[in-house]
Amino acid sequence: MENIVWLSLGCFVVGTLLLLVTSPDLPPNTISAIGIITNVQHGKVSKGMLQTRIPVVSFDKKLEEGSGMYTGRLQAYKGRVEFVIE
Amino acid sequence: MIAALLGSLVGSITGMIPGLHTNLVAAILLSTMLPRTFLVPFLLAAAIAHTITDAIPSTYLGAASSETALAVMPAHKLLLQGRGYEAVVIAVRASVLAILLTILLTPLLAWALPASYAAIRPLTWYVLVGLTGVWLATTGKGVIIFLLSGLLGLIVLDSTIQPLFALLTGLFGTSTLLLTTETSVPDQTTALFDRPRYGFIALGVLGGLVMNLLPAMSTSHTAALFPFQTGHLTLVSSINAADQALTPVMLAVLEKARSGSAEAILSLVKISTQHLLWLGGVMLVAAGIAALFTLVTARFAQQVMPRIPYKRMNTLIIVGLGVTAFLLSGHRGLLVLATATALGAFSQMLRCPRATAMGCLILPTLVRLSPIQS
Repeated sequence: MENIVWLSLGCFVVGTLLLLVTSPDLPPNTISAIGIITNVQHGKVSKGMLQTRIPVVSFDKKLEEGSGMYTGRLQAYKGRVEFVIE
Repeated sequence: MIAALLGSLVGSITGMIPGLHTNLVAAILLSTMLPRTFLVPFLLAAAIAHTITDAIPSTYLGAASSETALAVMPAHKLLLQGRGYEAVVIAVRASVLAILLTILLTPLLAWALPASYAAIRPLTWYVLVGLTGVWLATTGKGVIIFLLSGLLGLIVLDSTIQPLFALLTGLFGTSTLLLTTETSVPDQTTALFDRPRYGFIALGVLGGLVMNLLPAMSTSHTAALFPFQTGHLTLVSSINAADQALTPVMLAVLEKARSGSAEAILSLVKISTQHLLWLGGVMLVAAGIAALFTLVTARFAQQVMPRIPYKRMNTLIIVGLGVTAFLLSGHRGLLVLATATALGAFSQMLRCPRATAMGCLILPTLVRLSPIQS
């Protein structure tokens, strides 16, 4: 039998042992926001508006005032939500 | 454990089917109510297994992806020498060892990555231009193919749905199959002739790391920048595997996702350095299962291949790849496949390094990252 078969079996055994001795505690990747909820609508899902001015942050591009479409992510920073442009 | 096993199985299957990616599996699973403690190991295991088992379609079907494009030709060449099994073993060995090496290097990477990333990010474009220029200077007529394929990439990448399959299969897969003069696959052997190239595997891990630090780089794109005439199969497989194996540490220290699966994991949980040992276990289980699965499939394929009429099989494969391109990208996919096939055939006639056709991804990346653009 080739070495690669033994190597693969070894990987499987070591991996299984690692999974047995470690236990995952995976916290959800959530963000926290501060604001006042308005315009509530109740249906299957409750919807409302969180009236807050969300700061927009860009590390690479210069921001310009006016409407535009940006791709990025929401990030919690000092208890507030920031929209970070990627 | 069950999630890792199931993920390995699903990833092994998606890796064997050209055009199917674990990103699709991730998108489907994210819309379910499965718990995150199941989804995270499942997605990671599937991604790792996929990178290992895609050696099968690369070798036996000539199907290319951005991860395997440069491995298709050497693998298919070995198949036509009766060494298809060896091609698979080389790819599997490189992948498994690259995953192991990456896991061993993880503590060092977790410490060094944040500062390295901050330092290299502003220089990305200049590093890419420099590396590409030095490499192109050694390729002779390859510059023509680089520019033509780059132009093709610029035209199709943003205007076609899922363009990579048609583009890369045309440049590296169907063009090779069309110009093959063999009428049958020779009897296949399980003997291994080439010695393992451990140095290339270490370089592959370095390539995987570079790829994670430089945005918009693909595996074949990175491999093309290494100026070697041989060892592409080992290099591409190890870069590909290292890239996937770096996912946990990249998520933990940089919160940076390079694939759909990593993006899905990032949207579900906050990965920290405390999870790296557990995720290392998931990756090892997946690598072990996928490697064995791939070797067993290759053994079966090498018995079947010589019995199949090669010309007819080639025609069927080309038709199958065309249908897949149509299903993924519509009519435009067929047009891209035909154009890329013609360009791939032209590069073979010029006898220039086929890696220059990776200009289809490199040139658009350079244009996109150019300081003039931003």
